[in-house]
Amino acid sequence: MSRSYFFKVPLIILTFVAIQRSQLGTITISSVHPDFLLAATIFLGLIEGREIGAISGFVLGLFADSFALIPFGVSSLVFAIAGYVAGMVEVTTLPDSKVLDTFVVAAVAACGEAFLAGVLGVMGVSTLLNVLLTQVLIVTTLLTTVMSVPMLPLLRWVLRVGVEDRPPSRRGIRD
Amino acid sequence: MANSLLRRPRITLVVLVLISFTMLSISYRRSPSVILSAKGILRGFVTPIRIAASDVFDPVYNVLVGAFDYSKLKANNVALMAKVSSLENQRYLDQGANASMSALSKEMHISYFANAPSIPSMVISVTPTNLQLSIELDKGSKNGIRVGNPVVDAGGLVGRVIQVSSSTSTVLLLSDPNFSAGVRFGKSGQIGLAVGQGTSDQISVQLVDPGTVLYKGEPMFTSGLQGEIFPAGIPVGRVVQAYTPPGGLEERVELSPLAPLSSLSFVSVLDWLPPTS
Repeated sequence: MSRSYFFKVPLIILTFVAIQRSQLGTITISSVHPDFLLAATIFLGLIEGREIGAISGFVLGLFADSFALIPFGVSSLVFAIAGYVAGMVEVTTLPDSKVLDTFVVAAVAACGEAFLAGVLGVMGVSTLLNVLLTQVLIVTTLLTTVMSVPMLPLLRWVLRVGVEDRPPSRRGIRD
Repeated sequence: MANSLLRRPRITLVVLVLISFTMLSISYRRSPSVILSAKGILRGFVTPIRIAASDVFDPVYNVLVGAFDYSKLKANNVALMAKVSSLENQRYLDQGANASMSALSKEMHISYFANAPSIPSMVISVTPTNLQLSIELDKGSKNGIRVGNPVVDAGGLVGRVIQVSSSTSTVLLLSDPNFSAGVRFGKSGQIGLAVGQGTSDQISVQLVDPGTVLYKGEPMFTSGLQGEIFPAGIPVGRVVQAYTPPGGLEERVELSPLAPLSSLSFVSVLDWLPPTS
């Protein structure tokens, strides 16, 4: 496997952190910000499988936790699981399909935000997310799903360039 | 069976979950210095990335905002120009009153916000998270900002500092559901508790006696009572509506914040912390 592959995933993670921290991350729809970090977790899980999905989610979660006044580790826990779940399509027998990918993105985005709110609720940490849960679920799911349409092919292309001998078990790279 | 349980992705997930739980249990009650410094390092690491990203992505943002909000921006500009001229006049009137109040409160040893030195700061970003309503400032601990400092703008109370790194700080806005401040209002100086509602245009005031007469537009100020986290006299908001619900044990009061929380550019961080006793 090309050595450049090992730099691509961290670079993608940093790019999404940069997007989240730029003015694009401050756009609000019905008082809800787009969650580029959760989106990146799901995309990487879907393309690269469970392991990369979980690790990427964990790292992206650490960045998410560093912005907010919540116990350190909440987002990393939730995002790691979200990345793993998104990556589970690699072990399914379902055929490669853009519709299926879109459905997985929407489902994991919604469940991820709900799980995050649930974990915070169980811990007794009151946040804006718990107050605006319905809005956050709807807006984040929609935005992540819409984003996945251009981002999934783009990320697949970025991860494929210069990588000839990818492991056959990985589902994401279509020729 | 054992073989399938010990597959690498599953082990990786279990390890990551365990690390997360460890971090959570360490930082659950009160974040120790190691966690705070880890957060600070991550924020410090992101700062140059954010600055670089601003150069790349801000034009995209401006195009999006310009395309969808141009007429709104134009109307806002006209309204702001009218407001600026009226405020210019008001400022001269207020200066005199403020000087008298400052002198009086000093005489009486009351902590009044205008007596505290302030650090002017620029708002560099809204914190892009759905977990809290906060903004980030371009000044940090090296400029003398400390966790707990009140933040005001020309209109009134903005919030309080909740995180500080060497060159930036994060301010929890008045409208966040976790924000609360004691307020005083009316000629008799009645008190209540202002609590954020999660939207930038509304704050509710709790613990107000039922039947209290409140007028629309009546201002409320921080109370500065003993144990309060803000000095007295900072304007918080104006009453939008007040009523006693049938059978209610307290008046339901809604305020509109005086500071423009959704469009802040410059603020002042007051070098003030609650007295420790």
